[in-house]
Amino acid sequence: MPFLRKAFPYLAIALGLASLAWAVSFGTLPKADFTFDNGNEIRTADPSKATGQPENRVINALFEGLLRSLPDEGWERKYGPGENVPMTPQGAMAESFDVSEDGRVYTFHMRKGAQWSNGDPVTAVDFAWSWRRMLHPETASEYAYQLYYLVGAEGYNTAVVQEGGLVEVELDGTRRDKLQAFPRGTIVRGKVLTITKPPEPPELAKDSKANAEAKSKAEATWKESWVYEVEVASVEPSAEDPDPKQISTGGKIVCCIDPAKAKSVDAGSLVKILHILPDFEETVGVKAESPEKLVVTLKSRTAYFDELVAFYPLYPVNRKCVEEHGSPNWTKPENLVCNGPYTMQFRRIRDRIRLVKNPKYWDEQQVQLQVIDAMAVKSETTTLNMYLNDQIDWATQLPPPMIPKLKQIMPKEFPSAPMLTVYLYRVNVTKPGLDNAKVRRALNLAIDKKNICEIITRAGEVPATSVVPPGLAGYTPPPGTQYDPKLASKLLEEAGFPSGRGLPPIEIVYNELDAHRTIAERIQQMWRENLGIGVQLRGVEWGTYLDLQNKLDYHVARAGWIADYPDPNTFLDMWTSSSQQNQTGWKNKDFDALIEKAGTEPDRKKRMELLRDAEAILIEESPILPIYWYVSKNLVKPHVKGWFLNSQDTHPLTLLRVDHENSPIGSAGP
Amino acid sequence: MAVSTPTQQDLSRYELLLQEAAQIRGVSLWMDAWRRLRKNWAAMISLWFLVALVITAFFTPFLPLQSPQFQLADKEHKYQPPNLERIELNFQLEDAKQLEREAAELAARLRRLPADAPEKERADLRLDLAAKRRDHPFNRLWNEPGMLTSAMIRARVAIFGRWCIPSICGRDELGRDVLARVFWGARVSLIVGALAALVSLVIGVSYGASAGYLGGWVDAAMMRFVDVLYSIPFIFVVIFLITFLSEETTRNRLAAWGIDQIAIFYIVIGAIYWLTMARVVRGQIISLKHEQFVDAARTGGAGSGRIIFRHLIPNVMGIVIVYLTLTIPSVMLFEAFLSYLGLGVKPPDVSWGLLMNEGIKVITPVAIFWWLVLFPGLALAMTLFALNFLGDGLRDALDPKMTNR
Repeated sequence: MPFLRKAFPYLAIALGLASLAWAVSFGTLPKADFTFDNGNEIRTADPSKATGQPENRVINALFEGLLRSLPDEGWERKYGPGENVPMTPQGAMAESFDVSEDGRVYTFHMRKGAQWSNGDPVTAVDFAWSWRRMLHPETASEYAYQLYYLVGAEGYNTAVVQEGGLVEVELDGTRRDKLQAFPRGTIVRGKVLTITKPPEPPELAKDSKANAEAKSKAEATWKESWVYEVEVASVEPSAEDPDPKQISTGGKIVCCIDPAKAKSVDAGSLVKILHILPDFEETVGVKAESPEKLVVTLKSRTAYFDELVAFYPLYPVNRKCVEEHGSPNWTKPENLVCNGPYTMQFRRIRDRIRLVKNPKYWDEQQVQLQVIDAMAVKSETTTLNMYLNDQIDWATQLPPPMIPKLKQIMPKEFPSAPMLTVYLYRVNVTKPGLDNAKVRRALNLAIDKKNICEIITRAGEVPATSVVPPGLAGYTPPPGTQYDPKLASKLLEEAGFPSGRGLPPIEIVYNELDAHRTIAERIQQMWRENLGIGVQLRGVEWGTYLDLQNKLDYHVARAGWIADYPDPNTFLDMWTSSSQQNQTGWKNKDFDALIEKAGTEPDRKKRMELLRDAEAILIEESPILPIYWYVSKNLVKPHVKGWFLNSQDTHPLTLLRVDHENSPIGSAGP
Repeated sequence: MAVSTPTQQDLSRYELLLQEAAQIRGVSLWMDAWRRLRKNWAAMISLWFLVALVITAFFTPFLPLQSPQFQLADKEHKYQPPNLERIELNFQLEDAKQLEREAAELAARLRRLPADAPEKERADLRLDLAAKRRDHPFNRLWNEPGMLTSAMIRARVAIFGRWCIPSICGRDELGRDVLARVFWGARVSLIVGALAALVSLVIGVSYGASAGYLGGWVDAAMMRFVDVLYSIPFIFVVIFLITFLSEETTRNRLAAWGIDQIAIFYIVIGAIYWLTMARVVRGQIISLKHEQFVDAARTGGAGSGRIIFRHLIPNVMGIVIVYLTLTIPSVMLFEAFLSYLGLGVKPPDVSWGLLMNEGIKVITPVAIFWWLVLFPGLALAMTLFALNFLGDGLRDALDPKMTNR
């Protein structure tokens, strides 16, 4: 005891020092080779679920698709620092691909030696499985429609089952984890013989006055009570249910999602199921013919399918990793298995994501930077300060008030060019008042977009007269709209709301990032002065902001849309009735038909005309109010080489180099 | 010795004594505290500053300021530094009068409408009236002012016409006058501070006093509840409550009862700031409840409620007041913080917090629009200093142990 008493002070000091050392160890993070600000905290690193620019940058570092977008050889000589460099899809996980003559069948030949970060080879099977997961209704991927070009993909995603169709049925209670769609439970594959439907609920009747939400709810509940009789062709038992007794190949099962609601049949004899989906392998146009060969069948010729494949939603995910850890745990740095140029070393919320070079990446020799930090910085001012203090090498967001000044004092570090991006306001057409197209047009005409570009954004943005930004070869936009407050108030009067009389108040939702509020405040005054309508503002954080739009719980919400691929279609097909990205409640049959027709049109010129007609409908109906077209705004340190401008503002990290020796102050940036 | 009846002489002596006694005024605790407070010059300056601030904030609509929300969004006025450019309110007096006449006429027609008139006609008239009222330039320039504010604006227009104080504090990003915004922001910030303090006073004091006096398991249960609330991260609660209450259906239901966004915000802040107050008051009450005056009151037949609110709470008022002057600054800073998070006041309304937030955006090494930081910052800092000095002074003045100072 006396010994302990004597030793205590020393022990206490030692403990103090140890904890101090432990605490300090967090502060001395070795510096990364290259650091950039990545805007908002990313919501997920799961390619099938992500959406948004910060996610795009991280996922492009972690994963790689069949193809990847890169500039052509020799771009550094061909294009100057102020020019957009075109990018084309080039071989990545697939070494090459063939297209059939009718343009419908793509055969991808997988690259030999392409590996996951755990050492497994990347095969065609991985892609077929990843796309299946993305299309599965429970994944609820916002980008699922990017796969709708495939035969049968939309049917699988929306679970459309018909009598006589081939289906896959997932039995209830056979999953490892009820909340995880993968690994799946026992799957019974077969053919639907009959579907017994109880009478339609009153909400679905044509003359029903129920709102859209109540209708879709009623429809979902109704569909759960359908009873299917399925002829069993094969059974794939799950690990939890290795020997499904009541089911035998060649026999029949009578099943229902919610047996309690199926009134017509005795509930006791029904098999309870989780899902009944079209049979993926039989109906959806993607097949791994061998581990080296992926065959994709499209509904029709799609000129830009190679661009889609090079865009992150179609990137593969590792089945073993996803099934073992479940979603979203598999994207944690310690679990993540990826196939891109980088792996995630760690992720600190509200601080950074550290990316380290993936030694198993096939093109590993080309990757120059060993360690990259993607900083999560919410404020544009903080970004600028970090850049000026040399804490980051590349700033992706800048405070608008400072832009003219920055352009003036460091023109060499401020490359800027027009982008294929539109800043717009979504209008929720299911809200009273806003359901009237004339009101929406009036709202559009009453915004002085030129004033917003000149006073607020100030980086050379172009006031948007229509939706699709200029600069897409071969596309002539329909006649757009100009600022016209007189016509706007006339339209509002025609709609039955003279000077806003009787129009319910409108609320603008925006995410709290610096310029969005200022723009909303400006538009608030414009609408008030020009139309006499009351407008409220509501700034929310990013997650809530996405949520509100998803649930159609807003009046008007800001949004930005960056081209996923350089084609007008990327700005138009998201507004079709079935698109998850629509989020306005707007549905127009003519528009859908035109977009679909344009998708199947082989002649480029005619296709562009169809798209133009579709855009004309979009402008006429105004479910969205385009405000301006972006220009890219980046600050890049002179020692960063291999950075170039392009119309989508994507900058492959694999091409970047850092050269501190050959960067005299004031030399050309990229 | 014979018992002598009081003589006339005695009586007049007693009368004199009584008169003297009546002239002597006992020094009450409050008088004593006030006397001591008056000696503390820092506290007194702060007190007068605060009084002046409250009065100016209240009469802000009456001052010849520019509109706090009107945007002069052109290249000259964007980020215009402090200047003396002549500027007038952007509306025609005749238009306003014309609109008012029309609105009055409509209102009269609505009143004259017979009781059996068709509902549609009545509804139409109401809509017309609402539209006319909304078109009024005051609504455009001052974001739907209330009755009292409207009256003050009317008086301001009657006296000063369209004349305004030039932008001596500069203009912001959208060409709005910073001086007007600082003054109008004061209203919101002061109300937030005062109202939150009031709510915390009502809940915190009665909760803490009840718990302290009742004691036993009631006390334990009540204080454990407070402990639980304490343990929940504060910001999280506020964000959760505000998000929940601003959901559209909930909000509409509350709006039907006349509770708007900013009212919810006040209540939420107040509802959370009472925790410390409850603890402080409870401790004081426990130390007081065994005093003889409590026993005396109980002997006299007073119930628990009467003892708590009539006999005990006045005795802890000193500490409560001191604590309040320290709470108000922290609530105002918190409002600033919430505005910064986008949860506070909604544009076009302003508060000091929002102004500070806008100021922060323009301090960069590249360029500084100093007037956007300096003036709102100065206003906020001076108020907070004043409240802290006053709180300090009150603590010293109300402390019974410092009587001999």
